[in-house]
Amino acid sequence: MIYFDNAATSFPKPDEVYRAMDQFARTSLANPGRGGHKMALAAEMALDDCRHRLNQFFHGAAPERFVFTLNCTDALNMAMKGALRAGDHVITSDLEHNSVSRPLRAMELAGHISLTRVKADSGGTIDPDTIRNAMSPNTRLVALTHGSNVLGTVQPILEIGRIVREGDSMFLVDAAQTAGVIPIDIQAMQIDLLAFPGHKSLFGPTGTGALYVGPRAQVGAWREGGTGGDSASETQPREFPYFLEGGTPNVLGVAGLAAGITFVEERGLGANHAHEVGLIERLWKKLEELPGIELFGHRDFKRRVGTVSFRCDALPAAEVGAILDQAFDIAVRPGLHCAPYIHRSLGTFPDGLIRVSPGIFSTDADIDQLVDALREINAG
Amino acid sequence: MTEYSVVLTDDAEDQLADIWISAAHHRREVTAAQHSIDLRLARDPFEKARHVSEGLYCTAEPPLVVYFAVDQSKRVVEITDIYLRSR
Repeated sequence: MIYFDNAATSFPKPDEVYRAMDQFARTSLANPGRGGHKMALAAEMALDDCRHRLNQFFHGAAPERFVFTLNCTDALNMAMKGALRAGDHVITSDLEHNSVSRPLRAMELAGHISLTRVKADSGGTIDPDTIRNAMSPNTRLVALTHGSNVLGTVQPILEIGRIVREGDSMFLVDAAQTAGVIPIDIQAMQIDLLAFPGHKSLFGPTGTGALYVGPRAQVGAWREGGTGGDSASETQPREFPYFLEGGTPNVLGVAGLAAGITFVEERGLGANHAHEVGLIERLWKKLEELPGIELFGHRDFKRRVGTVSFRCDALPAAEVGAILDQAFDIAVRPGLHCAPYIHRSLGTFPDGLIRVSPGIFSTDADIDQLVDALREINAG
Repeated sequence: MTEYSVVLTDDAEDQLADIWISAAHHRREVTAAQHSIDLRLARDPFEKARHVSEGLYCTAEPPLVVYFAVDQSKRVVEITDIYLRSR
């Protein structure tokens, strides 16, 4: 199988990740913080170490501000539902994944918040001035994706962060497509809440993710329950990360995530980004030569991650995806990609597009095989 | 206010020795961190400490992380484990 669905989750994982998880599972898979015995401490140290690594990686205010979650959606829900109060105004965009759009739309429909959804330009980029113009005195949160999961376009969050801070609102960044492949500096970018998965470009297993809660952000308790220490307290301890981490954490997944971070740091974000973008540039150029293919998003590859979406005049996206899977053993993602608003803006709703997202283990030969397959499909 | 006495378990002493031996290129940092942690725990063990599990606390001074228990009546802090964080 040629796997071009890395925007959903990266595959394969580096060998180091498999090895770290295997070793951890066989030696240290106790319940962290639930006892002071050696195995529980080893598990606790794995969590502590990974938090510290994340804090260094993203330049956060402190390791304990990183709360482990099930995935990026979990982190986004914790951030939005924890931070928003009745009457708040929220700004978001039409690039967002349903993990942002659905919770916000549900709160809007419930009359809890008011919502402004700014539009990306035709190339798939949010103009920071559209955020500035949408700000109002009761804007509590600006919730934006860092990289579109449909178009692969990277958003100017440094500039937007500055605007949000001027307005004294909170800035929530969904880094599902960028964490591990585009540098993110929480403090320089003035990010208050950063949600990211562990299982995409950080190469941890599925079931991992985190939410960074900055010192300016006020969020309510989310999943209340046991935290190990301070059992006598009748309510959730206010201390981070425990305030947001009730229940047994996925410490095995976190051990894998830590190994994934090491892998990324050793290779360098720039190298991973250059490899993936090189592959999509190759694909883009070859697809441009095929008749009946329409590509979406701007062509400035430095401002993209390794994702390309296109339409094939000959067949609907879902059929192309099925043929690629069944006849050519190539995995792509057809459809709406959980991001219906951008497809409406692009005019590709409801059929959607064919999304190709190579990873760091993909090769030029893989891309060429995909192009050959599409040429055959296109020819009928 | 009387300061706390800070003691290490045998395991913690072994761990610290291993860290010191393996940390050839940043021994000065390890020594400084250990000194700083000792002073802090003696003065106020709960300052900058996390409550990890029943009776067990954790504090960090890069690159060291220590786990410890506190006996308030005897004013003793017992360091049970020490580890070196990833760089």
